[in-house]
Amino acid sequence: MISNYEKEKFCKEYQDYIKLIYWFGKGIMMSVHLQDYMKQLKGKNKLQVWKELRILQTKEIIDIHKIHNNNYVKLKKFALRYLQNKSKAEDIKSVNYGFTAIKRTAFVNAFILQYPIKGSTVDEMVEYYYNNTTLIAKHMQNTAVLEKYALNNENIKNEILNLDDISKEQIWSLKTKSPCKKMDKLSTFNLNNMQCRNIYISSIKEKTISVVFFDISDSYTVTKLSDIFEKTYYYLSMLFDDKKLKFTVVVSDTTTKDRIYNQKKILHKLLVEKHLIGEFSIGVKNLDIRAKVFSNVKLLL
Amino acid sequence: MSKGRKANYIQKLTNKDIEMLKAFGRTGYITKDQLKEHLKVADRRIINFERDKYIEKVSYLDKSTKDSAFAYRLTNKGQALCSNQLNIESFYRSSSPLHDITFTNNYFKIKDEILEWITESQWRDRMDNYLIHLKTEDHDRWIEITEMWEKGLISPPDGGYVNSQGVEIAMEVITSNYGTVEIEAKETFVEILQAEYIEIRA
Repeated sequence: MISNYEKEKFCKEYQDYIKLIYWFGKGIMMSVHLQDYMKQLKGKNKLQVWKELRILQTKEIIDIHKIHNNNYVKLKKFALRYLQNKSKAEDIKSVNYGFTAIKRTAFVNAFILQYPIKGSTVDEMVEYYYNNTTLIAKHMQNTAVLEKYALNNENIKNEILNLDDISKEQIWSLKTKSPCKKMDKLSTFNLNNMQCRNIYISSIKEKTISVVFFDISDSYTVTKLSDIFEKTYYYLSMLFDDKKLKFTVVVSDTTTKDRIYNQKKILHKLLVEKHLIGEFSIGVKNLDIRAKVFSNVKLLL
Repeated sequence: MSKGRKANYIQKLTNKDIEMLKAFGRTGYITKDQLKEHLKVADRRIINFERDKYIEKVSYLDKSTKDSAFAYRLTNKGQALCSNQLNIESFYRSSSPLHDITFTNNYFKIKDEILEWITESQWRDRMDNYLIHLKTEDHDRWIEITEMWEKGLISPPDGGYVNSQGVEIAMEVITSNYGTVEIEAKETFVEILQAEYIEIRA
């Protein structure tokens, strides 16, 4: 048995790890990616990070499990309690996961780590990615990206109110009927729907918005792609009418990349039918996640 | 002089291979332990099938141990082999790993009783044939059933078989995701076709 006092002491000492896993992985993260983050932030080598993770495991703050010559790290309930400042264990839910969640964190963190990270401490990193992207936003809480642009844009102001209403309704419906008044919906497709389909805004610049589509189940077909392209295009061009859109499809191996490339002509034809040709640029990126993280094994979701 | 890699490892299908391919077509996923225990397939033979890309290895998360476990399934090339050599046309469509592995376990329990296998799509065909037959005989009943069929109040079970006495038996695996409406839909389907029903909890 380890006392709560001792656990709290170790949580304070290794705050960086817990915060990284909580924000960037929503509770779970591959150990490879943690090692990469710590190398860039603190200059620690792989063995040092691994030893420190083992200390946290013996103190019952995290769980480590093996998966295809790699490991994933999961936060236990005490760590979540420490970060959210809750006194009782019943007040919070433990991290619930399957292969879908594991693959999602692998995609998100591999995407962030392909560029040098922004910020020199963990708090700075969280602030940057939370306010400029939707990559690390929690479930149903992704209005932080839009807030900068709300001052001189009526559409965005309304959309933030609408999204707030939806998230409030979620909390209220657990207790009683919601007191929130329903706004006129701008569209049925919004940022929450994008989050559920693993579509994220990766940056908003002066003239362009970059959007990433993570093909987590390796099942993107051309018809499905043209469908989501259409929806995100109409939604985002309604909010930002003066910016150009840049779409990137992120895949995990070469075979899925080839499959999309081979059907280029059909995609072109479908986009011509929807009058969307030339409205946005499309790119396909292979991050080689299957080979690097999962040692070439197919995962069943 | 060394010969190097062979072009094909599987030259001829043995009786054991045919049993294995049939099981793959009927149940979707089979683990290595199940192949060795129930079908007596050798380790080397499984590897050779994998090398020739008739079957492939996939992993799933075992909820009890929190670690990954492995299972095999047919590839597109393997499905072509089944339909060309063994005349198998409809294959099992998979759902979740937990669901499929329990279904496979149950398949090996009743394997010796099977005279003829019925897949999910064949159950659907049987229902269509029954409705055509019913249309001329009992029109009111036909309207009632077709309405239920279109609304989704009737749905076919995962699989089934005809045993040596000629009785049709339907098999269905139920997980925690199933609601009462879905379970009832399966039961009414079996009732209409007058078959026996086995329900397995995963």
